[in-house]
Order: sequence, then structure tokens, then C-alpha cells
Amino acid sequence: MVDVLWLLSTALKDAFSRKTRSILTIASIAVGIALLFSLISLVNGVEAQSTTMIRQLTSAEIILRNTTGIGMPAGMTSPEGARGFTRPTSLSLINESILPIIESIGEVYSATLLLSIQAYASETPIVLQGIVPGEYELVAGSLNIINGKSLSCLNCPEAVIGKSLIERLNISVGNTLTITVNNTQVDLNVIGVYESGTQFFEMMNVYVPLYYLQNITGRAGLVSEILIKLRNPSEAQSVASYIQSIFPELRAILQTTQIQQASQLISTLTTFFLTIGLIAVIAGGFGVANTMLINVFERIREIGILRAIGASSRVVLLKFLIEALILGLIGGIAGVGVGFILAYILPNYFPLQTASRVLPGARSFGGSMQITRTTITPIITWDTITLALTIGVLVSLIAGLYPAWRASRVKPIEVLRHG
Amino acid sequence: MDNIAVKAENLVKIYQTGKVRIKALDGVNLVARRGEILGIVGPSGSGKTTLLNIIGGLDKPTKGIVFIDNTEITKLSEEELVKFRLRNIGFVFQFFNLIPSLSVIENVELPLALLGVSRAERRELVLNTLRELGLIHRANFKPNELSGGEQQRVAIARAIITNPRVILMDEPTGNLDSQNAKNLMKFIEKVREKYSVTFIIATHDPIVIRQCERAYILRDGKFIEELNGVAAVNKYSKL
Repeated sequence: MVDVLWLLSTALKDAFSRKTRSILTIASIAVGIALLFSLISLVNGVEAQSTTMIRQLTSAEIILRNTTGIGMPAGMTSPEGARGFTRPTSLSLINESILPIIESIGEVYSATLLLSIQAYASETPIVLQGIVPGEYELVAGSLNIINGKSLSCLNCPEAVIGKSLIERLNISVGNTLTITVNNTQVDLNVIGVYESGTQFFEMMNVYVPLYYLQNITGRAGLVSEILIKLRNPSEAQSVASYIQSIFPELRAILQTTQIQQASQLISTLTTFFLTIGLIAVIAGGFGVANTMLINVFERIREIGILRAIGASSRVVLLKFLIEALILGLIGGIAGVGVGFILAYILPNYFPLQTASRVLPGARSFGGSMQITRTTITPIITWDTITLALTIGVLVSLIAGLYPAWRASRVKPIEVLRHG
Repeated sequence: MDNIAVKAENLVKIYQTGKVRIKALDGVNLVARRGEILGIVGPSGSGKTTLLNIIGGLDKPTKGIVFIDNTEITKLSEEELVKFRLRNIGFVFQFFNLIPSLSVIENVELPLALLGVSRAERRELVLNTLRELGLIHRANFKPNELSGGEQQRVAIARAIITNPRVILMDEPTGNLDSQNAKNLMKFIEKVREKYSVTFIIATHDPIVIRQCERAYILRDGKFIEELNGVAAVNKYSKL
């Protein structure tokens, strides 16, 4: 049985017998691993952010939205109802008078109104979310107030704003927040700060009393959405179908569908990025195979001598596989290091652009089409590090298999005869 | 067979290259006794190297059998032969065949490492051997930093380090001047006495032939005569 320590030390020495070539080989693996590692970390980040968003949506099972007639409030008999509205979005509004009909459906536990309007706070784009205090929390879940208090009045100039926004604007509870909505400046008294754990939400959503928002925007009696909470969430599909049969112009969106769509999107994204990363690593593998083959051809005499002295084909095979493994491991470690840096640098060059309407950040799939730029925060885990290193080593080992096999088949007599 | 280290019977080796058929060995019979220095004497192309390769298990004969210490090596598989060589046969080649990237110590310790001897034990054995060979001051040198004579002594150190039964040498003085050749033969004599190892030396160097107890004269793949070393030199010094 060969001395394993000797085998390891000679393999390590031989792996770097041609330094420049070895470094280039390591670089080819490192580039692939770096790409794979950074992409996985970024996808993990996106997944975590989305999961947080989705979690915050779980309270209301159905969202009613009017997507049938632009500017035409559903439930109104005449387009006059929409006249004079400054429409920030392409979405239509809903007449709030249908709420009692919704609430009268047996399976509905509670329903609430929501009006989402685009506005600016010192040139920072925000979405004003007009809610009915108490009712909104019952359906959509409580805001996590970390400072001050939540909304209580129905028609007063008060606002609860996100932690990130309050930091950006450098104001505090008790200060006045001047916003621009419909080209009109309005002063709101900041009474509370919420924290959602997601920068999107906190930057975008400013909660104000519904009737106050309706008044200042001339949308009395109109809302963007109606959020519905059911007694039994498993009834969501049948209740949604029933509501749509009563109000064909409305669209009842199931939250589970949204969650599924988001998960599917993330899954597709993950597969796509993983494929790109793997292709890069495999390309690196060809580099290893090339280097190892050249090594075998260059050292064929040395292999012949070893075989003549008494090295079994297994020992020669192992020696070259260990060399490939060393290159792969060092390439993997370097790749993880570079990938770590890339994972934090890349998002700055490719910010995520998102329409707030589709962002769960609106809590309610709110009606604004506000485009938001945000940065993905990568999530780096030991699992990702282990996966990247394992892939680096595995690809190198596979790439080294053929050269190592060639080396193990060297017949000493042929090498020595042609000395 | 107790006193016989190597026995070859009716060895035939035919090389076929396309339509050309070359009979390198033609019915060779050989016996080498334990602790003997046996010469295979003949001109270039007579089949000396082919014979050594077959005796050493590096090559297979077309016909015939070879015994080393009662083991019929011509029956062994490729991998069995590798193991057998490692434990029982030492090789010394004309061009030394040292690994250039390894130091003297590392070259000599190779067979021991392959046998699984620990590093500490290896180093002790190698340093003792190098001391005996007068190479201790060159222990950390690379082969290209040594003279031809020194390289050949390193090759011998590597061949004897596992204390094999047989050492096969192919033109060991082919790249040495006459003084180094004489020194080498003195050294071989010393090793033979100390370790009772059998040397089979393929050569046409009179300095080497003179040291051999017996010499087989090989011509065109056939043994034509068996003489003692001195007689062989006198009769075939111009081979």
C-alpha cells in the first residue's frame, strides 16, 4: 500500500510543476465557480426578499380589482363617475358601495377597502395607501409599528411611514411630511413608523386614512382594491368565482395564485442562473482536462519510470486525480472568494426595476405603476459555499479522469524503449 | 532451484512492425545464481536490452518462460508484475532514468514510498544508503546538478533500496568515463557482497565484462557461448 502522504505531497508538487499553466487552469475554474456562486447567492437573496413579501400578503385571500375599463369605476352606471380623476395608473377603480354586498357573502370573514395613489415625498416616489384603520389590520394583518402609533382616525392628515423612508427623509415621528399628490402639496402629520423587513415596502408605502386620501385626490367613494379575508381559506377559489359572477367587470385574484406565480418565477430564475453558472464551470473543466492531458504527455517518461519501478496503474491514476482535485479545490476556493465580492458588486450595476403595482410591497397588489429601483442583497450560506466547492472539485475530477486514465495505461517498456 | 535466482527457458521474442518481422530473441536459455554478477555480452542490436526487459517483467516474451526465485513471472498479469518488480527487481538503465524534478533523496525513496514505508523510515534508509555510496553531500541536489557517475550511483541506490533479489543493469557504464566505470564496478562488487544480490548486466564494456563471474555471449538473438568474464574480454573485447 503506497504511502498516502507521499502521494499527496508529490501530487501537490507536480500540480504546480508548471506554475503559469497551473495558475491559468485554476483561474478558469475560479471564473466559473465565481459566477455560479455569485448567481446562487443573488437568487437566494431574491428568493428571501420575495418570501418576506409573500409572507406579508398571507392575510387576505382574495383581492378584488377592476381591470376591465380604464378609468371607469366598477359598479358605476356612468363614465361620469370617473370624470375629473387624475388617474395615476392604467387601472380602474371600484365603487366602494359594493363592499356590503361582498361582506354579505357567507364565507367572507371580513373585507376592507384600499386606495393606492402615487405621490412624491421630497422627490422620493411613494405610494399613498388609503386604508380604513382597524378594518385593514383585521384583513391584511397589522403593521409592525416600531415607533409612534398606528392610524386611528378615518379622515385626518396623518401618516404611518416606513423605517427606510423616514431614514431617507431624515424626519421623525411628530414631524410634518410634505407630499405632492396630483400636483398639490399636502402636509401630513407623521404619527408612526413601521418596519416590514423589506426595503421595498418601507420606501414605497405610506399609510394614510382612506377617506382623507379620497378627499384630497377627488376620489370620494372610490377605491383601487377590496381585500377579502375568508372564514375558510380553502374556499378561496369558489368565493372568487362567485364574486366574479356577480361583478363580471371585477377580477378576483387569489393570493395563492400570486404566490405560486412568484415561486415559479424564482424557480425559473434559479434554473436559468444555475445553468449559466454550470456552463461556465464546465468550460473551466475543459481547461483542467487540457492542462492535465498536456501534463501527462510531458511527463510520460516520468510515468514510465514510475511504472517500471513498481507504481501500479491505480497509484498513477490516483496521483493524477489528486492533481486535478488540487487544481479544482484551489480554483473552487478562489472562485468562492471572487464570487463573494461579485455577489455584492453585481447588484449595483444591475438594479432590480419593479413596478410597485405588482410588488407585494403594496400589500394589496396596489394600483400604482410606480417604477422602483432597488438593490438585491445576496444571501451567502455555508450550503452555497459547500455546493460551489463540491462542484469545482467534481468538475475537475471528472475533467481529470481521462488524462489520469491515459497516464495509468502508460506501458513502461514503450516509454523506456523510445527513451 | 535453491541456488538459482533467475532462470529463463527457450525465450523467443518477435517484433512485428507492419510486414516486417524481427526475431530479437531466438531460443535463449539463461541461469543466474544467487549473488552472482552475470554478464550479457553482445554488440548493439544483439537483443541484450530485450532480454533484460523480459527478465525484469517489463516486456512479455513471444514464447518461453522466466522464473525469478521460483515465481514464473511470464504467467503474471500486468499489475501482478508491477508488484513483483517493486519487491524483487531493481533496474539500472543506461540513461539513469532519474526523475528530473525530484531531488536525489526523493528519487531514491520512490520504491519505498510505493511500498508504503513511512517518511521517517524512508529518510533513514535513504540517507544510510547515500552515505555508503558517497553521495550524502548530494542528497538535496537535482539529477541535472550531478555528474554522470553520480547519477548512475543514484540510480543504483534507487535499485538497491528495497533490497531486491535481482538487479538488472542495461549498459550501466555507457555514459561514464573509464575511471567512473571502474568505480561503479567496485561499488557493484561491494553491494553484491553485502546484500547477496544477483546482478545481470547487459554490456559490451570490457571493464564491466571483466568483473563478471560468467558472461553469456549474445549475437543475433542467440547465446553463442558462455565464458567467465576475463575469457570473454579476451575473446570478444571487440564486440
